[in-house]
Amino acid sequence: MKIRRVDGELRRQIEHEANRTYGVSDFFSSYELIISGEGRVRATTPETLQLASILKKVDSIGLYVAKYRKWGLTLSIEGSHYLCQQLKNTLELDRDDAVRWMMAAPVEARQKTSGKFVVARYHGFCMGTGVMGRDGRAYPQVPKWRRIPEE
Amino acid sequence: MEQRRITLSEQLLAFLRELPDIDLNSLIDAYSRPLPSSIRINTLKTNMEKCLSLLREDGYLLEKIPWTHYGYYVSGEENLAESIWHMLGLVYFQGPVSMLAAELLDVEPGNHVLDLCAAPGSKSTHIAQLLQASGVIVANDISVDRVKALASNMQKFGVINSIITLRDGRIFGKRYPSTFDRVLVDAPCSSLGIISKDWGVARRWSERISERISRLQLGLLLSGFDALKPGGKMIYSTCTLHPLENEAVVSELLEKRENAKLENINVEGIKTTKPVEEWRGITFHPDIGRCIRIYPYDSGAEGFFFAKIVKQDHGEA
Repeated sequence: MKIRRVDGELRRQIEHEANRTYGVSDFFSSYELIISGEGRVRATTPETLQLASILKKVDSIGLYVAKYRKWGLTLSIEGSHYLCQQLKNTLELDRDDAVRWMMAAPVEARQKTSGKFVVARYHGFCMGTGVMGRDGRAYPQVPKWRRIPEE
Repeated sequence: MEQRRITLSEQLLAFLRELPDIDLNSLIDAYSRPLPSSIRINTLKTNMEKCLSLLREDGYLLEKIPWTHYGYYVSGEENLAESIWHMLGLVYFQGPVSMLAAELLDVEPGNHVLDLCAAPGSKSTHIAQLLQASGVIVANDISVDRVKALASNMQKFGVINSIITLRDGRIFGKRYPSTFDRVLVDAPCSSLGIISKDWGVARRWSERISERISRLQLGLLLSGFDALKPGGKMIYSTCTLHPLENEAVVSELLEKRENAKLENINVEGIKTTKPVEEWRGITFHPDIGRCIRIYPYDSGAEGFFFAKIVKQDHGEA
């Protein structure tokens, strides 16, 4: 695995985007960020990255926390979990909507939201990013392998 | 409804009858019963109290597994595997005895830990939780497909201090000698301890499988030991009952590495059986009595073998 560290200008851009979209003031500042194909951003500790540098045949390092593309930054379920206390643009869900969210089915935004992306929250747990549609519904970006299967 | 009773081959029965201190009838009864459903609560994402309360609110019945810190038997009308809490990674399904592997490793925050045969990640995620996000867990496996499952589980569990490697575990000792504070070798095995999960294991088993796999197990154990720092600790575990895959492998390590010592294993809340000290005319290392066997009828779940090995500093008696 080729390790591409995120630092300098790219790191500033990602931090800026996290702040602009989600109100995050501390985007994994005490962690190392690395970026792999399709703009997938992973976070890990400096100690982990140091040990990884001496190992061969590394498949992956740390936690996938976000995806950074030209059109914006989306947070993974774990990325939003880590940043949950800081997130501003969130949708509080009830149980039925939380289940729908984890099925990747669109969810009606019952609160006022701003911008293209929102993060769902249920019982204090952040559940990743959804894209706001023009129909006022949020379209969750839940990967297939994390979805509750439809009956 | 009456429980179907498993029928074992003559070859397997003959082998089981040879094992000292075994209750064959109880073993066959245990093989015939399904394994209980059990979970480990992910303290990297939540705390025990909150998680238990959420699960109970959703109607799940939970009962603490006495020999674990985070394990619970679970039952309920809803399928927890398809619940929000499982999909978010707050709980991890794992056999109750399998949880002992990481529990026995004496992991401390800050340790560098190697899990040599890590997929699908049950023990690695458990180790990560014991590390409390401090230190590093290196989770290795040889199979591309199994590493995918491992990576998914580590992600879902929220492990930030992990490195996943894809290679033959037998190489670590040579490439990275004296590197890790803790090593887990949960070796591939003939799985005679988990026949309840898959009756096909009993049909497929032959003496040859155990003989062949024991060579691989020894290679992994030696490699894991060599990768251990002096003063470091290692757990060797299998979910099988064959002495060739358990006591014989550990005994050979003790012969080949003079600074390898066995530690006593004390587990509360579960009945254990003493290991096999002699098998088909071969007497194992005199310290082998420090290992433990857990039979499926002892645990009401899986059967396992555990050995706890310490790498002594040079000159340490």
